[in-house]
Amino acid sequence: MKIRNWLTVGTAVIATFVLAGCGGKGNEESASETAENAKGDFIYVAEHETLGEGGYVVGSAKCDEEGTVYFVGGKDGETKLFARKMDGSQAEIPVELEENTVISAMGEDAEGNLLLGLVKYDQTGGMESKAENVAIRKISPDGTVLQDIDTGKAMVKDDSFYMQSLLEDKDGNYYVCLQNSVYVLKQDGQPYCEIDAGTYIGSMFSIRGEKVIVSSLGGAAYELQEVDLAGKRLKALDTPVTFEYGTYLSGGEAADILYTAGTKLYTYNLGDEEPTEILNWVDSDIDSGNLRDFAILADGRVIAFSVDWSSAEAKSELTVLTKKDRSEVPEKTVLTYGTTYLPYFAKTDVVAFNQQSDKYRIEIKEYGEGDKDYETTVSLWSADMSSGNGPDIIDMVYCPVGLEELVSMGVVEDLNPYLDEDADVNREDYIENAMKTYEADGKLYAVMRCFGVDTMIGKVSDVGTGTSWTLDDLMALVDSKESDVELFEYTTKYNALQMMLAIDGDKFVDEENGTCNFKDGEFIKILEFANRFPQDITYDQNGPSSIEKIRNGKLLLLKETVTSVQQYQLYEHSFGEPVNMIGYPTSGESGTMITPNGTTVAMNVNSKNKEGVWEFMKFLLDKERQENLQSANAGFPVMKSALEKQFEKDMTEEYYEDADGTKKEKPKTTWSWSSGGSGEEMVMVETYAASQEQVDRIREMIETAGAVRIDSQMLSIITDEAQSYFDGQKKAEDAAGLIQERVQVYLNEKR
Amino acid sequence: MKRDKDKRKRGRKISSVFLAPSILGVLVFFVLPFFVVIFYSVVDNPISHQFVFLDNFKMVFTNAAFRQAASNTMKFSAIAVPLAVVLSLGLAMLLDSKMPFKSQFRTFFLTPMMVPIASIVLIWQVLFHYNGMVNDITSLFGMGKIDWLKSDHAQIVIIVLFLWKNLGYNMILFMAALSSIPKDILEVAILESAKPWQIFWFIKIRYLSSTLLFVTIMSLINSFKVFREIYLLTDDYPYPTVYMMQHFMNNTFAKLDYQRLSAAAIMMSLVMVVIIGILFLAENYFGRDVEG
Repeated sequence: MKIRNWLTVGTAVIATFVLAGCGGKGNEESASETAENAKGDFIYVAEHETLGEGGYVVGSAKCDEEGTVYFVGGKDGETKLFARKMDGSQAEIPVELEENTVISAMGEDAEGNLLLGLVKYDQTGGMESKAENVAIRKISPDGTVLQDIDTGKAMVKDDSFYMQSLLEDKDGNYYVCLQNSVYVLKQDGQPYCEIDAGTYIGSMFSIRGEKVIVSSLGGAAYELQEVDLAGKRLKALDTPVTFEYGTYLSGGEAADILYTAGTKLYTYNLGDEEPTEILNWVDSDIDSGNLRDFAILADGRVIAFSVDWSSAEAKSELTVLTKKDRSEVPEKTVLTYGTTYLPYFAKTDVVAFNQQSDKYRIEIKEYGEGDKDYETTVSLWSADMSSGNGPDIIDMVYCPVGLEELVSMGVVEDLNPYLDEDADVNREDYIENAMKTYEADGKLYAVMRCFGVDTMIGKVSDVGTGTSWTLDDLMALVDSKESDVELFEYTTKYNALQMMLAIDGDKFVDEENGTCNFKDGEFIKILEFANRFPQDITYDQNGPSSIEKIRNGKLLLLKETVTSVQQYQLYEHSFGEPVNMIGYPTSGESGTMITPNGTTVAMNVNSKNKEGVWEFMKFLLDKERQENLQSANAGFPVMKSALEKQFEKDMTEEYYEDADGTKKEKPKTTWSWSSGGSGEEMVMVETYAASQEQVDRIREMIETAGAVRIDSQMLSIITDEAQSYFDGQKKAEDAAGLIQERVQVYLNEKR
Repeated sequence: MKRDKDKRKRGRKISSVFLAPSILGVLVFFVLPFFVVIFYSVVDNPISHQFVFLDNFKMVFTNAAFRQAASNTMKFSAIAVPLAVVLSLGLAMLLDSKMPFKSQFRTFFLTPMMVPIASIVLIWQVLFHYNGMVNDITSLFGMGKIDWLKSDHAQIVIIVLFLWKNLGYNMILFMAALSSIPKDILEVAILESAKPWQIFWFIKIRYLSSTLLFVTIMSLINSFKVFREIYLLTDDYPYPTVYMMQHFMNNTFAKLDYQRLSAAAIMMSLVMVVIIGILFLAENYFGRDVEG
């Protein structure tokens, strides 16, 4: 053979090796693209100030470019308007309001006068109040009334009337934004037109007084449209930018549009190819989800008004952000929190951690940020993880792979040594089965802040008082009812199959020996059971509500994630008799599953700041943090004492005095929803202090709940093959045979 | 003399400069990944990098899914590659003879090359779906329905698809090779009363040997790449008979199990090196008379 041939062989060998290694689906981007934008040498330093001193609860506020913040404070049914200037001075602006009248929206004209949207409600009080009258009042900054326009009931279309925003254009026309519509009034207050956006309008603002823009809900982002007065319609803005869901405002003199999307603040000028990033709110310890209004001041500082509704008492804060050189700011060790998509609760926890830590600062690395599709996002995440450049803190809520894969990659650190060696944290203080959710081979790989429990709920008279039931029990229940009785509301064959396998799916699989037995009669029974449900569902807008169906005995079970005692109380109310959270059918001891319902994180084994990561984990598990989950429905805390404290709180009656001075019990939670049906109206249920028995039921449910065991890949194979049976193409036995073959391949591969 | 030496030296330097980008490209995109794959195959995972020597290879070799994938891939290649070579050679011979509508036939066989893969898969789905055309036709003859893609017949469907997709390209290569056989040798053979099969075996095959080798190697590589079509037709975990090596690779990649992926890639490559080596030896043996 000639040298030429040997060379060819050599090339073929190398090409073969390289080709053989190419197993990806393509579309991967290089890891370098995941790197954050080069950090600037500056940072916006925040100075926070609480607004609404003196017991006033601040509802809405308007920041202008001079730094003056106009805000509405309410106390004991009294509404007042204040102005807070940049020098720190604060003064009340006298506004005479009729009884039961609130300032629903605020705006500004070109001269700096204030526009107030006034809504008068009837005297019913509470959520049942009905709007009676709408007025627009223009006042000077000192409170002098310049114009009063009473529109009467013209704009009030439904009882739950709420004015979103208000502004005036350069010609003196007034624009009022109400849910899906923009009302335009002439300078003299005469109605000019109503423009229906056909969807909810997020915000309305003007661009330098010239154009009035509305941001309305689109399929995957906001659609920015200009109000075309002549055509009495909305006209789409011609821009190449995708405007993510966020808060959109006028950019004032700094830009055409100022907006916040995700965790960042941007400016955008019409005609530009892309927006300009101004800052990342998280870097300045601000939770962008709480932002209500913000502005860029003439001197470049940024002013922001935020309200934290998730805290026990709504906390209103004014923040002034000043651009400073990084060297002027005390240095902290930077940790990265990596996630494909940032959960809102994680953002809150990161901001809270940053605010209290002198040593560490967490920066968020959101792989799916911007307009990236899921596949690209996962590729970027995987590239970072596998190259050892992953974030210090790995978010487990939107983790694209399961714990098993993370462990197999060797990317997650065992937290047991940290838990054992840290004198401040005691393992026994935490709920055992909740902590076990992220355990594998005796190693603990992630911690969660709080959790919920996935379960099925039914009347005791239907499901009994046991802690679990089998598929046969469930089928027997269905068979005992008439054919028009629904087992679950709006459940398809696919949903039913998924539910039946949620707990017991692994029953057909012997992971240890890598075998499966789907040809078993038990599995065929599940297929046949799932086949009883409809293929597709049509939501009946005019049909009876879930509660009506439950009460009429037409709906047997609810499948829910229970996150509070109040939720359990609601189910008792809905079913109208004692209920049992019996869980999903299982041949085991418990059919309920613990599911993370708050920040859940793992530590990267390659992190250079493992101590810092553990500090963040401790912060999540900290007693003070555990006892203040900030929202009743955030879930159950993982700390035993915090859970017991929550139970105590749930059982403690709270009282208030009504207008007549009568002592009344205060509801813990008020649930409201639309009744459905032709005579649709709002239904309200108030839950009060829970009984010991109710709390005991919840405690029992938590104690017996297990970890989620569903294998999504296996489920995908099963549902894929089951479809041919559901479509009537194959017999259940044939479909089960195919499932057996395909799952076996999957199991072989896993070993 | 010295001048010539300097000139040669200078020439070498200039060629090095021109070659550098290519060499750099080969190093970065071929040689370096090649060593990275070897490295990954002998460590426990890409993060901790603990040396485990042949553990990954043992794990892969004893894995039932890997064995099944290897067996299926070998079976597929063993059937599809010879068929792709023999049938395309036959077609090329046919079109090389004096037959009507040669141009139309050539176009007909080349058409699959122009069709995007997604469309091919769509066509195959329409044909071989449980409710597809093939079952409609067979039912006319009283035959029962067959789930072609989810039964033991699945590999036949994939072989047909592979042949349909690749015959045209192979055929063109053979036609080019046939036309380059010296006409005088063929004429002499005819004058010497050689029979057609003798002309074919003793002359044409000798002259076609390098093309045969090339077509075989390309078909072999393409047979490994048939995963793309199978994946689009049947997803990550197909019916066992069409679970190929590339499924194993792809799924292992998706699980970020790079160490097993690398070990499997190396084992698969070694097998391919052996096969290609044998093919070269065969070409060397059969083509020795006509090599210039």
